[in-house]
Amino acid sequence: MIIEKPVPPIWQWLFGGGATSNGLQGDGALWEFFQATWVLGLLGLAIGLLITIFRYGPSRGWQNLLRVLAQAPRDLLGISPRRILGLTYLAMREAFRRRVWVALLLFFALLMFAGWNLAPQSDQPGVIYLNFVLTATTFIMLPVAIFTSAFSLPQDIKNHTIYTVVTKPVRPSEILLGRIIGFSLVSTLLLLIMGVTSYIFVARGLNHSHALIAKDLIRETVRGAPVRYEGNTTRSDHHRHHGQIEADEFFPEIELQALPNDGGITISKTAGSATASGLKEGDLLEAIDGVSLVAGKLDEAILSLQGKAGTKVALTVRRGDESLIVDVPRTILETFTEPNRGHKHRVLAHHSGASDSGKVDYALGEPEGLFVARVPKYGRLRFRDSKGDAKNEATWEFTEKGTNIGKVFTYRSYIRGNTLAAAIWTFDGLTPENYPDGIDLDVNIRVYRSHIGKIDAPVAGSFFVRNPDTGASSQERIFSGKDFTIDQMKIPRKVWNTQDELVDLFDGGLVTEDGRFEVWVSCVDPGQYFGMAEADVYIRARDASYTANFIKGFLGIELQIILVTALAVFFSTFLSGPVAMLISFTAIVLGFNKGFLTRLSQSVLNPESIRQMDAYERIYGGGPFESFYRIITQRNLTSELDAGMFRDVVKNIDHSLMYVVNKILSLLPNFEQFVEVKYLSYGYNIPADMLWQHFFAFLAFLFAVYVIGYFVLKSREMAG
Amino acid sequence: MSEQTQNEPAASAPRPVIETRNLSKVFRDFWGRQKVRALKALDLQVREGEIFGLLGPNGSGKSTTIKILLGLLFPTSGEALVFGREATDVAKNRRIGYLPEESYLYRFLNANETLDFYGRLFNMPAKERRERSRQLIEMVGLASAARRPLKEYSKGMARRIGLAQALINDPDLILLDEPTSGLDPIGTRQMKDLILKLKEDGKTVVLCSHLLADVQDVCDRIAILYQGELKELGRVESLLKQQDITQIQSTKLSESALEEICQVIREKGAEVLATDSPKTTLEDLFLTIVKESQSRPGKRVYADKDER
Ligand SMILES: Nc1ncnc2c1ncn2[C@@H]1O[C@H](COP(=O)(O)OP(=O)(O)OP(=O)(O)O)[C@@H](O)[C@H]1O
Ligand SMILES: [Mg+2]
Repeated sequence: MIIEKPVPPIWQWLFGGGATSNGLQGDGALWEFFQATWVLGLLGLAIGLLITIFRYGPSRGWQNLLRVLAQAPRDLLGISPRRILGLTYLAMREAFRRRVWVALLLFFALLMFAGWNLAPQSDQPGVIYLNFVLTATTFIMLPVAIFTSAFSLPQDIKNHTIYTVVTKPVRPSEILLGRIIGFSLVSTLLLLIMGVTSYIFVARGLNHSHALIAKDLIRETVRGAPVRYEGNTTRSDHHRHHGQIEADEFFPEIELQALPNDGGITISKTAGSATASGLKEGDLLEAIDGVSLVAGKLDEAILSLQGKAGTKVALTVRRGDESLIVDVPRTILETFTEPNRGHKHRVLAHHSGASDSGKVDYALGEPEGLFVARVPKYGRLRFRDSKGDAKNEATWEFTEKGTNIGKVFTYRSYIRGNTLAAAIWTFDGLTPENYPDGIDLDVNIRVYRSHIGKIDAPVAGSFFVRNPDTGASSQERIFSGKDFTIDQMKIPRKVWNTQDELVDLFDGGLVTEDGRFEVWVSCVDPGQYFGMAEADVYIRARDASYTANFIKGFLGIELQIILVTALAVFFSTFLSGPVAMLISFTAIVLGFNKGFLTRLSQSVLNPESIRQMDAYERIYGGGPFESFYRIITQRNLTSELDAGMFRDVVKNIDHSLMYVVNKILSLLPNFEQFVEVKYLSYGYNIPADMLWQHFFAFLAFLFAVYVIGYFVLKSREMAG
Repeated sequence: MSEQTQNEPAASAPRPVIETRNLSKVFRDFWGRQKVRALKALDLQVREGEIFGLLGPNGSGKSTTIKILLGLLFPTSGEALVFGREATDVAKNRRIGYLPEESYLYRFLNANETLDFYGRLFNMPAKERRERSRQLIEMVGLASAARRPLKEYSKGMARRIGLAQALINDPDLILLDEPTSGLDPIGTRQMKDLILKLKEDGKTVVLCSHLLADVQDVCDRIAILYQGELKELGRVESLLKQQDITQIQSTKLSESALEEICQVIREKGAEVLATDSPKTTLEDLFLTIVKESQSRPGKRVYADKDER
């Protein structure tokens, strides 16, 4: 997944202002909301007046409208929590009576089947598992939400039970809110259960472990002494890992922690063999192999714990008043297997007693890195063209023949291989404190081949870092650009500069005083191209909590479900149950395809506007009728139709149809925007700003539904 | 919040609780075509503290009137005021209790839950709700069935819980649409007693019923509707009084004494019509009006015979 536009901070989104280069309009969303409210309000008044005049005649129509308007503020604002609670509780009872829990059974059944055969061979099982549970949840919950909420009010009106409700001091607004809240609470409960189940299902479904068996390992020796073992792990969950084990980098299974104010070093965690040998959490570490520790030097302490697999280290610890010496075996390795299928394992020494040859069986820890929530830190992108001249991304145009590769060029810009062309990202805010171990860079490059060559061979690229002020740069590093994969590159603290000196990234002058540096990427293979966009290269600033991200992802689903509930309740204020249900389904289908349909209707209504669209967003072939006409006459999408009456008729029908579609679309929520689920399954941290943005959009929509629904209910004869 | 606003003109003592002016209702279909004229220019006033009966054959507009007064239907023309407010204003509902023609209640709730739910709609605190529900369930005689869902209730039981629901807020105006339908004789008796008791407490009751005896027993004033038109309106006693007939009622009159009295009447040139015990005569009145209206459609001149 690629994040095309970095999410703007929520205040900027709401109130406008700020940088406009990222496609944001100057006015904030709040202003747009007020404008829309104003326009919709006037429109609603006009329609309301027309209807009431049609039903009651001009003078009485006016009177009715004024009366409704006069009562509206009190009804809309003077709502009582207790009444709403009563109605909420009733709605929940009703939902359970409608057996919403069947959704859970369905969900569990799906998980059971999925557990057997969910993408066993996939390269990205984490993505597939998460995608599966999230999609299953969404598509089970959407119909459930619609079913429960679309039938409730019509049923009450049909059974006349509404008589005893509306003859109490209940505002129509409360009837709406009570239902929306009640059904939303039920959905929330179901979602919560599905969420917890999903979490466990994904974690357990992907959990596996391998072993490194002594006989599979090749020993590497230096002057007869084993220094390294290398080999493949056992097969498990349809894959193996390659592993390389340094012979003497094993540690006891403990975690150390420096106490504040030089209070010494304490053992904060023990596991497995360390616990078995008698260490306890909270023990104060005093000496290692008889050598007393220097206060505050945690690093040194950790280094002196290191040794060969299976050997023991004597730890002098203070527990309460007594001081004891415990022999702890070194069983875990500070390295990991090579990553495969998106994860790696920590190496543990299995047998404490190493044989003469030094070969041991190793157990491996749990898969790590399957579930991440990457927090990307984006930079600014500019380009240098093939002659070495600077180009700004905004004004970047292709003049060279052959660089226009069609569908996607306006989002990505392409640089040609083996020329001076380069893509240059500038990052800021880099400090040694934030990046003590160097900088992790994720590079996601599109490759465009002008000749095929070996199709599965990667196209070589190079990158280096550069200080934008002094021009000091690191040596170029070659990497292999592969389409659709994220290359993880590490810029370590110690890098070789162009003077062949190994210098510190920060102190060695590659990063400016105020924490900026540039990353230059270019394509090496002649005749091939790299495609880049601003969000393609980012610093992986840190990994946020996966669990929190999971919760955020489900909150995203929750927002959608509540929206749909509100929509269905709204439709049920003036439509019968089945019709309200159908329309709600239609609305979400349209809402999920809003972007496409808007572009489609634009292309029919205003064909000139196609030229302004990005190439990959253009839609050819006209509206549904024209397309159908093309199908039966076997014409392709772009050929001109013969002039004539028939063509005009078809085009006109499409035109009026798309006019209506366009108007309807502008009223619907854009479900395409709710991409939390994508972020979660592709392992990106869901930005809080985005969640807030959706939350406010959601509130605005609820507000509209609330107000319009109120007026509809208010002007409806319950006994009519 | 604006409870006080309608207390403005307390000029003439019992002020009207309900007032309709020229009230009409036309039912239309979806396309706006007229289906039924259910009410034609109805003028009614119901005063505080009285029991008002709406009578009329099936389909004459009784329920329609009540629904308009509750805001369940909107008038086509004319006005309907309750406590001086527009009938569509929900704030008036705080002082109203309504028992619909049939018990339109949530069948999956039990009696306690039902009353609790409606109590919440009146914004009553939990303690008050519990207390009030207990009292009312006791009063309508459902204590033993209070925990059973309403879908298991018999018609009469449903009627009773419907009544309890209508009284949950201790209303000042109670609208009862056929309160005694489906009730057993004891229930009917209790209902009538209850209505009289409500009047005693100063409440206003509007009811419609086909059981004329019941109406005659409890109502102070009645209106008779026929095909949406008001045909008769007045105090029950004066409506039923027959000017040229004198009825003598006495206790423990012996056969011979009766014969003597009859003799005296005949001597005075009058005629003795009957000497048996009195019987329901509202029935007769009702039937006369219906028959008369069938033969002579249009506005029937009636004198509001209740001017004291
Ligand atoms: N919702 C409606 N749509 C169309 N017509 C209606 C509707 N409700 C009532 N009517 C018509 O209005 C007229 C009056 O009906 P209403 O229910 O007020 O009669 P009623 O006096 O209560 O009769 P009953 O004694 O049978 O209860 C009838 O002709 C009826 O068909
Ligand atoms: Mg009726």
